[in-house]
Amino acid sequence: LRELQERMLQTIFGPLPPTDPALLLYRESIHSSLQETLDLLYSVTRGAYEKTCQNPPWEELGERFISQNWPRDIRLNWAFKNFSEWLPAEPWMKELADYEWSRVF
Amino acid sequence: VLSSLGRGISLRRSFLGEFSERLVRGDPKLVSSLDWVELVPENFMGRGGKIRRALSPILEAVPVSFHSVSLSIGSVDPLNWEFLSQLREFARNAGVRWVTDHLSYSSVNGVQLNDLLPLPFTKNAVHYVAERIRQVQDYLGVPFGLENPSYYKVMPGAEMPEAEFLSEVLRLSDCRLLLDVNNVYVNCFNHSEDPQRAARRYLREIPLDRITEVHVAGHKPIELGGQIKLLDTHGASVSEPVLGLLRELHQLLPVKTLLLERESQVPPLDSILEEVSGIWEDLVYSPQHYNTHLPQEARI
Repeated sequence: LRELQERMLQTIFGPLPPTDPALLLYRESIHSSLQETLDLLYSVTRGAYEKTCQNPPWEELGERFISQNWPRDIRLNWAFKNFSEWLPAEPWMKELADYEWSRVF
Repeated sequence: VLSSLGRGISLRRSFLGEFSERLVRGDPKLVSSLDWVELVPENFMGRGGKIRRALSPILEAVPVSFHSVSLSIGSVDPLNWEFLSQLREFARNAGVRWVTDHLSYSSVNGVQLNDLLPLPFTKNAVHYVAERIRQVQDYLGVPFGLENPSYYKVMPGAEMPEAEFLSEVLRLSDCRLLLDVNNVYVNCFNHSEDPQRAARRYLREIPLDRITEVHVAGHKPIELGGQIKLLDTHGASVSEPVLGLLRELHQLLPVKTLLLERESQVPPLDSILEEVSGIWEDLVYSPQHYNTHLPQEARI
């Protein structure tokens, strides 16, 4: 079971696209979903720290995203938790966003 | 048998405020077309402010179930006890009827995959996941069930068909079933040459007496590798083949607790209410609804 699940992880995040169309579907679906999530997290975080960033107001952006598509990633859910109150005060958020961005993409 | 809740919808944050406000003022259309709601607890746990204010009157006035997506019950990763602890507290405080998740996994080596991935239909997986289910339902202390997920790839090494895999997991774990009729159809369409026949057979091979609630939702056809496949999107109205399968299920065992899911391209609340009411009336006014030969405890 572990080998199978680790292969799926490699299929989804690995450098080579799978030859099986069904697995390609999972890969594209998850990449798309994660990209949306991380894009927001990254934008929100960058927007909160870099005042010159041309993002929409981060709170509005976050509310709009959350109302439409709450991420299934529980770790990112926690990251969004009450973000409107404490995100700007949490410097590690930017580090997390940078890390996630570089790790996945 | 737990449930006879009637018509329900999944509570989306996009219409949470409107739903709450209309419920508080006793809006006739809302009150007359809905009996219960389901929510994804991850969307609400630990939230205060206006979200909590909007949710509170709903929890007080309407029967509620939780349908979580983060349990990853089939993963080789350890169970997330921090999540389970918060889920248990939230479920108790909300007075939920039951909690459900999916017979799938969504994390590997701590990496969240952001999707519900299929388990191999093997004896090993049956025993592994059944043991974890027992741990979870003992810990939560409220009725617990799992949904048959949609999947686009049959994992290698399968030793049995999906219906047998599901049945064995439910039997060994003594777990309840959230039967998603759309998922049954999507899987049969994607993995068999005669989806209607395969879906009917599926319904006859699973333990219907374990059903706590029934889900219906919309799907989307796409071309994949030169073939048409169905994606479980929850982004459209329920298709006619799925409604047909729901009627077939209702003939086997009257559906008493039905939920319409809509997650993407969410239409106005009134449209969702009209759709679920239409589906429900189609069942209620069918002759099977008055079928009394089945014992009460055998009804869904």
